Amino acid sequence: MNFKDFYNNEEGHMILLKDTTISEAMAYHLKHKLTLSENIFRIYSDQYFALIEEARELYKQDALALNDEDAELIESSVGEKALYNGREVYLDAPVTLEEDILTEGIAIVPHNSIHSQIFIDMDGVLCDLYQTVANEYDKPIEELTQKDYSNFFVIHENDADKVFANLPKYDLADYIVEIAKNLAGKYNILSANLKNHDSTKVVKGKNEWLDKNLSIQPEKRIFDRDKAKYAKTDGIPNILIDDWERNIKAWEEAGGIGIQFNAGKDDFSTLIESLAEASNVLENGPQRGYITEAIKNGKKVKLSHPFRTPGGPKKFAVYVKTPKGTIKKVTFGDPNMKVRNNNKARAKSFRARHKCSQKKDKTTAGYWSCNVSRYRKALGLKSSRVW
Amino acid sequence: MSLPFQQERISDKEVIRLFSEFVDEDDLKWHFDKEDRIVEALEATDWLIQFDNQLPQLIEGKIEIPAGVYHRVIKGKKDFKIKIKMS
Repeated sequence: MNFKDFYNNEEGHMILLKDTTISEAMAYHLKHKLTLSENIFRIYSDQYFALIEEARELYKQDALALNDEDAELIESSVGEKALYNGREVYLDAPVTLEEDILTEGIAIVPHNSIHSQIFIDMDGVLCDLYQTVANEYDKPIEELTQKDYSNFFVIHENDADKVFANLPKYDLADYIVEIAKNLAGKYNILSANLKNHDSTKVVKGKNEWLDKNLSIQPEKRIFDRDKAKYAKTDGIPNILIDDWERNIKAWEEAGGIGIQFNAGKDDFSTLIESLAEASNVLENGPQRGYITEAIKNGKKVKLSHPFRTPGGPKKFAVYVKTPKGTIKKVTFGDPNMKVRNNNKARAKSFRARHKCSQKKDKTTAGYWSCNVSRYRKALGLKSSRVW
Repeated sequence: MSLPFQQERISDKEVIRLFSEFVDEDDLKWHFDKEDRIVEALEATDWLIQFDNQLPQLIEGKIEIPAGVYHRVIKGKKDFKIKIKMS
């Protein structure tokens, strides 16, 4: 048995095994009996990675005892950087999806960089009509039919103003309009009115919703089923963000750039990427150069006000190297399950249910869900227990 | 989102914040502010402040927090009251 393995145990803190020079940061962790996973520095900071690198070197020299979890951490690619979609990312170091999204969001926020107009749909993008209809019929959103929606509007013909005025707002709504405004200088609402029905009350309700829910107001409010006729202005293609495939298809056929996005279901980063691509197409644009400057200036970052992707299926993001050498973004977690691994029975049940002992592939969400505790400090998890 | 402290505004640029000993330490997140700030502990405390890439330090006297610099507060054993002056 290797001497340093003598100390290996699930809860073990780091122990220095040789009289050697160490950094002040390492000394601090040793003094306070911390594991490497309890790294006190902010994830992605220089010192966060410097401590891991120092531990890696000491461990190689048999000068540092680590528990199994920490040993696995330093044997990963954590600390290495790689390019992903043109931006530099750290490998094997997960961040909350909110922070990752914000970082990506910053990347495409040049002010007034495109001359096209951006049109944003309301239902399914800014406000949650789906859940409201689902609640009405007491069934999951996935089981709703077109007939359910049609009936919903018939049932609420007389109180449509109240129904629409009180639709729940997606957490992402403010970010969507903010990014659109920053990208194009302004944005417009383009929301459908009703087919074969009087839309007066619907429009009244939607206007009321806009008044009370959005701090950044649109330049124009257009309520029209025939969205495609706004696809171009003076020959310049416009952008539509809409959750309905039919609207996107018609928009693109009319020469515009369509981005299909459902705020209750889709990953916000897909919208960011689509907007980046759109602005690139429109202006041959320089989206990526803004990341560092924006962060350094302290602008646009709202880390003290994190948001969730409410309908999104994942909670964290990590960049990993695949066996082919390409870089892949893995998102993992479950927004419906509050991540707490300080309950032994739940942790055991989780590991059994998810067959964690068989999850060895770092390019899968399953691996990271099972091993997220390694980054518990950085991600705000409570316990040192391995899932 | 609820904040991990109670706050009383004493002027346009100054607030008093009270952090409870029962605050969830996971709610004391890394963040940075848009403007320079000066924080001042209003009583002796074992609460710490940690700046990005630095080790934690005791909050005593006045501490300057420049805009855009990541920092976090680390929980102590008792309630903690500070005055924050924004530039």
